Amino acid sequence: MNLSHDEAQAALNDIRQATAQTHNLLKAWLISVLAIGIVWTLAFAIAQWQPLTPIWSAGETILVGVVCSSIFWQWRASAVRFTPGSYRALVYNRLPIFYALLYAFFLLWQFMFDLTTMQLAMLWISVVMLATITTGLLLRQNLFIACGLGITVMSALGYWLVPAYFFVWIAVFAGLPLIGVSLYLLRRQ
Amino acid sequence: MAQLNEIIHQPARLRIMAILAAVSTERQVTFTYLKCALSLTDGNLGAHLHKLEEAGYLTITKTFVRQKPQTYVEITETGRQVFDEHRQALKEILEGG
Repeated sequence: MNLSHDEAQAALNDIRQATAQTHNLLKAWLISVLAIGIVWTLAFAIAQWQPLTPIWSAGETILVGVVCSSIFWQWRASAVRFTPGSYRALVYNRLPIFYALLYAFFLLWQFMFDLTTMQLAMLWISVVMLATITTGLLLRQNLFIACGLGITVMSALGYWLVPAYFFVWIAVFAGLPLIGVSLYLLRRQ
Repeated sequence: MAQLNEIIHQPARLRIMAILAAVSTERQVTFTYLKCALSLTDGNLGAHLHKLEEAGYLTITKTFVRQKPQTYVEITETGRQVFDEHRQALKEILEGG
């Protein structure tokens, strides 16, 4: 089989186009991360002066997460799925149960102990990042692990080192990284 | 030197393989998505998929999702290797020309 230079170029262009189209489909979940990043950045920045916003932030993050995930699941379920019986399908189907248990733990902790708004914000970030790290470990996604660890460590540093500016700190080091990473990955081909 | 593959090189089949190779392993794509992405008719897409399945480059799974029939397509390991080799051969033509 012989091809001219132009035919080979045309075939490679077709491959690139089809690949980019599919990557865009697979990247749809990043919209959820972007939306949560925006909520966190705004809510935590406002919390520096309005102490009740960490509670709203938790509620709003869940709402945004649920709405975006539902849209994404509906869209994705109509296009791709993990191969039934595969390891990833097994993990993927059980992750929502794990997330629900983590959230139950968050609620239980919140009701059992009299937490300050700072402690509440730190607990919320830790719970969400624990979910992120566990997901990364189970699905072998290094970016999830790095993002989860980085945000947890930076938030803990802010909690201990700059308590007076903690909320602005986490707006910058917990909210903005989510926006940055999601935008970077959405734009990357 | 990488070899071109005549079965894959047909434009519609090349794009089918490109889409299937772009999703990671252990993932399946629906017939409906392929049909929309490639702007093909049911019959046309079905014929191309059948040819690729016969060659052992992909597997087709028919199932029911929410009581509606759904067809899923997945690239095989052989299919991925052949596609990679075909793409490499195309690049070599460009580099050589």
